[in-house]
Formats: sequence, C-alpha cells, structure tokens
Amino acid sequence: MLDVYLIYRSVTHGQGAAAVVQRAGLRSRLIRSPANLAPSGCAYALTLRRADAGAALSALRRAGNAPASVWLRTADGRYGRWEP
Amino acid sequence: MIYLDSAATTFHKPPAVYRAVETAMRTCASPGRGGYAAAQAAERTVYRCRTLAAELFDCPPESVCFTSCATEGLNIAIRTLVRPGDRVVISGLEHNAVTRPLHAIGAVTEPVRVPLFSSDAWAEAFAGAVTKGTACVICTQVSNVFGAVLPIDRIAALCAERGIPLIVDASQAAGLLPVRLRAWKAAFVAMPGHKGLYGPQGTGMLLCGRMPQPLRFGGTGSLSAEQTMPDFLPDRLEAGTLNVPGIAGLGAGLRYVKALGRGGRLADERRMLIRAAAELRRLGASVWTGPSQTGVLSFCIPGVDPAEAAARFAERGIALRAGLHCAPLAHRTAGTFPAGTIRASVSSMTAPEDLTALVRTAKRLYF
Repeated sequence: MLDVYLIYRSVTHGQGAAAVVQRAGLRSRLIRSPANLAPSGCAYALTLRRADAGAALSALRRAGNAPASVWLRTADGRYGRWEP
Repeated sequence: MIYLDSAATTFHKPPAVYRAVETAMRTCASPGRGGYAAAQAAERTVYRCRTLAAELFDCPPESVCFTSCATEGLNIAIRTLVRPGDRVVISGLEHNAVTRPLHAIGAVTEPVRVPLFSSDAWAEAFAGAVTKGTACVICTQVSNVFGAVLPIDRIAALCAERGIPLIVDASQAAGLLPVRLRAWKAAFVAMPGHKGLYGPQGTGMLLCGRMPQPLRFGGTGSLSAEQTMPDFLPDRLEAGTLNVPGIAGLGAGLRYVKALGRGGRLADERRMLIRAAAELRRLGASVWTGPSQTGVLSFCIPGVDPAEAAARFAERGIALRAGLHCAPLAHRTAGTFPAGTIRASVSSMTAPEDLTALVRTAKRLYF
C-alpha cells in the first residue's frame, strides 16, 4: 500500500522527485494531492510504501529535492504528519 | 523544392518528430491538471523533453520553461531585467525580437559594432562598452543574417566578472554550438524549438538563471487557491495549457540533435557553405564569409534587388530568404541596409547538391 505522501508544489518538482526515487530503486506513484494536504490548492503527492519512505526521503534530501511536507494515510483514511 | 531557409525554420524534420507529434495528439491530454492516464502521459512527455533540454543546455530541469518561440522568451527576459531609461549594451547583430521590446520599454540601447567575423574585436568592444552603469547585456550567439559566431564564452565571463546580467539569444546556435546556462552564469538564454532543434513551429524555451517576471498570468495546475503566480519555476512562466504535441516533437528533435552531435554537424554545414560561397564569389556575387561562421550565408547579386532575386530563385524551386531578415540593426552594422541581402541557410537535412543547384541557378539567371 502506498500510504506515505510526499507533497510537491509543482508537477515538475514531483516528477524530479519520482526520478530520484526510481534511481534509488524504490517504487512510487505521482498523483494529484488530496486537497487537505495542499492548503494553497493544486499540488502533487509522490506516494510510497511506508517501508520505503525513509530511504526515499534520504535520497531526495541528498538530491536537493525535499518535499514541502510528508503525510501518512492511516487505515481510516485520515492523514497525519509523518516523520520516518 | 530545394529548401535553403533553415535559419527561419528547419522545414524538413527527422521522421521521429512527425511521429512524436501525432502520438502526442492521440494519447496526451492536458499535463499537470488531471490524474488519469492521458494526463499523466502528457506530463511524462513534457518532463522528458524538459530533462533532455536541461542535459543539453547545462541547467536544472526546473529552469527550462517552455515558450511559444524565442521571441516570447526574449520578451520575458527583457521585461524582467530592463526598466525605462536603462542603459542596455547589445551586439550590433540583434534581431527585432531584442530591439523592439527594448524600444517599447524606452531603454537606451548601445549597439556594439565591429567587423562581422572578428571574435577578438567583438570581445574587446564588449569589454569597452560594458560599464558599471550597464543594466543588462543582450547578445546573440550567432547572427541570423550572416551566421557570424560571437565569442559568447568571453562575453559571458566579462558580464559575470562585472556583475552585469546577461541575456543570450541562442536562436541560431541551439543544437549547433554549446549553450551553457550555468557555465555562462547567464540570467536568461532564449531559443526557438523549430530551428536547429528540429521541433515544430510554435515551440521554444527560456532557460532561467534567475526568477523571471511572467508575461502571461493564469492557471498553472499549482497553488490554485492563490491569486498570485507561483514563485517557483517552471510554473511561474507556464500559465495555460502547454503545447504538448509541439513539446513532444521538440523532445524528438532534441534526441536527434543529441545523437547527431554538434561538432560533425557544424563542420558539415560549414563545408557546404564555404564551397557555395567560393563559387558564388567566383561568378561575381558579393558574399559575406568569415572564419567563425555557421551554415548561414548572405550574398547579393550586383545590381539586383535581393527580394527580386529571391523571387526568381523561388520560381525555380529554390527557397531563400531576402531583405532585412527582421534584423535591420545587423544590416546597418554590415552596411547592407536598407536593401538587405539574400540568405541561404542549411541544416543537417540539406544535401550538398542543394547548394550546387543554388550556384547553377544563380549562374543561369544572372551571370
């Protein structure tokens, strides 16, 4: 289940992040962000498995492409801020 | 038709470009707006082109902003950096895409004028003209009229050393000569997609070394709840739906350019041009050539108006461009204003026989 959401302000930045994560050998999917994770409207979420999220974030920080925020989608469909 | 007007647009494109345009039209929706497959296909298409351009032109992908043409990019760059009354140093070879926006703003332009093909003279003249009071330097990398290559590395180094922002018009250079946003520390580099990059008309790119002021405002698929334009690239300059089929074609053109390599292509184009220039000169034509020149050749038939001559060549199936080439300043610099010249320009799609036909037809018509 892809339950960690890395939020990017633009599709281009999200695509850049997806490329970094792919190079790290991790699976991800770029989607439009849920509205409550993007208070300024229209953003993009790079979604990952929780098990991969720590490695993905490390790779993204090394590449200078850290997300604006990180969220975990819980089983009941709510989102909470998340730290690996 | 024998096509010798590649400095205007490369009319003949690699087959992959036509295929990419059609594939995009059949498979891509609007990028950055939807989460369904066709929208994502469009996003991938745009991103592939953006990353390839970033690789070729020495900049991060986010700094590559798609425009409709080089003129749009130059307008954005100039509007960002120049205010009324500013002193702007430009080369004496600039196109109206540079001089008209400067005129509209009310800038004070100082054209640098030296013999066309002298790299050292250009570098020295810029060094003399660029002072503390210079708001901005704008320089074409290659003249669209004469194919003269300007020493842009040296001009960029000079601007960086003196802290003056530089705008480069790479319209005739992109795809043929190195274009390096980061190495030049340039503020902006503008280029079309449809000339040496072999993309479709209606495509272009502005490489941004600093944050630009947008000319166009609207939806970007980002920060939509806010009424100000995003303060990040490329979204800041990409309001409205992107030309996805055009960008798909441009991406295919960039792949072609990358595979072709720059050095060999430039040498091939120059070889064809030098031979034709020598033969035209032998016939009695006035020809403008020099040591640092791309595949653009200006010439005149003595006593014949260039437009009239080009029309007669066209009747015989040879496509040339005559007149001022939207660059009256370049013709003033070269002393060919107001009649202008006839311009023949080649690409990797030009065969040596095409230039043989040009010379043969010139001989039949005028000598």
